[in-house]
Amino acid sequence: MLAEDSFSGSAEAESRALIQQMSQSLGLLRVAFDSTGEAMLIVDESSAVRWANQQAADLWGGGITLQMVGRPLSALLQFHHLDRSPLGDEEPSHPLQQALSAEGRTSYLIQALSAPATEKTKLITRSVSWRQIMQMDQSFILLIFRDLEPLEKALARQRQFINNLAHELRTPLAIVTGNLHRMRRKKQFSGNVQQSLSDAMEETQRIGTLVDNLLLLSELDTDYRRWKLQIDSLINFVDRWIVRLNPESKALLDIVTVNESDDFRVQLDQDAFHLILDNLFNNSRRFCRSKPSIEIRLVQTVSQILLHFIDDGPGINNDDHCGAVFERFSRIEEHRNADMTDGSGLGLSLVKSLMEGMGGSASCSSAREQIGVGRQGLVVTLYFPRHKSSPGMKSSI
Amino acid sequence: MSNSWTPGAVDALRQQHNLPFVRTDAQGQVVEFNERFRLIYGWDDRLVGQTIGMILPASFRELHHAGFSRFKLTETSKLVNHPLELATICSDGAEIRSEHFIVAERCDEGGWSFAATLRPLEGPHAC
Repeated sequence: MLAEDSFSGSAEAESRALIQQMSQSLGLLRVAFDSTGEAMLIVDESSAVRWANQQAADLWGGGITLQMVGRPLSALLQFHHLDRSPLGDEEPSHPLQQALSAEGRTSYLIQALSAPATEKTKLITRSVSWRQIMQMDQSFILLIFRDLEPLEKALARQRQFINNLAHELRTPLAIVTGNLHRMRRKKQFSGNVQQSLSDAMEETQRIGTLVDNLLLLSELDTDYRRWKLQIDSLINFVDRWIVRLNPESKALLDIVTVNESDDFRVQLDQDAFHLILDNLFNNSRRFCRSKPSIEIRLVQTVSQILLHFIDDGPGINNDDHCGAVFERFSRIEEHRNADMTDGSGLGLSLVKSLMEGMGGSASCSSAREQIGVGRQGLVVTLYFPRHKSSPGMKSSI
Repeated sequence: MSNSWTPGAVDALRQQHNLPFVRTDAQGQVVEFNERFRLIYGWDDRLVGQTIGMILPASFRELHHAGFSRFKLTETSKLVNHPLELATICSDGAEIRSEHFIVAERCDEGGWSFAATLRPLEGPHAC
């Protein structure tokens, strides 16, 4: 009996010591989380705050973390796009909605709703990242709010500069294009002059596209693009792109789904997706000497939907060039053609940036590597996170 | 952060007989409570020795325990000496929205003692 008592006594002492140690660890973690410069929130499946650190409480909870618990996130703060337009809770661009597909990050303006009336209109810029976390069959979303770093502030200044530059360039470009058109209509010029005028027009058009692409890239770099995310099957998104093409272009395409019964649901911005496919299509047409034959192949994996854009052009023979094609203003020397005006050198960079902006990614490989020996061509693969909605989380479906 | 630990703060709260009062030791375990607390929230002597987390909704307990442990490390807290509106759990599981006023005081033995008055903001005893 004595031995039993002494055993239970020592077990109790051990449990007490363990609880004390865990309590100390909890306190240390709390001190660490409260010391960071980032505001952190964890929200549960009903979009109510489950946990907050001190920075978050200072911004949106009157300084008291406990007072944020159990309150809907939408009662504490309001997200706005960078153009100051408010972002609805159900909009697919809302961090809580985006977190259902994949982890990600973008910048928002944020309004504190619990602030005094005089402070309520104040918007602060924060880079917000989100991640879904599963804990004992419950789903939570971790939101981290970071103040913009000097690099991001410099990028914002650069965006403003490019914005102004684009505005300044568009008017003279429109005047030059108009004059070239008028001159080409005149019959008295010789064939050589007509050719020079055609070349000048092509180059002017290229500069115009370059300005548009630079502006778009700058918007993407600084999170200024206003995404209009929708959830639908990738097959439907591709179909809507094909509808816009002329019959000649349509005839070049072949759409293949590896398994018809697969679920191809993704979340993306239709306009951005059109731009991506336009760029890939133009790229293939540029580098395939004769009429290209293009295959768009859709594949479902455990966590992603893949779109392979496969052409039968010269492809890329050097592995080092596979990464380089996505770099801005990069041109693969082996593909340069003296008879043809260069592209803007930004097409595939735009594809990559647009994909990343929608939570996906892009890569390229040779058709030989992807499909098999004897096959020539380039394969650009777009990776989309599969859209998954947890039962309790609000979804815009 | 507030660090004004007024000597005698716990006793000053204890004297407010019209308000529910509860006190814990440095570990956050309930040491005493008054008749108003017993009457309004329904707890009996079995609460003594239990964690004060028992009277908070489950979702608040993580932050409560973490905050309690942090206090022991830093001896600072934003929760003390301020009226704080929180849900309070009764012995039958019901919730009463209450205004908590928490104080901390260093005991003669060197440890900390925490106490709070709870003003019910709803229900028959709301004041």
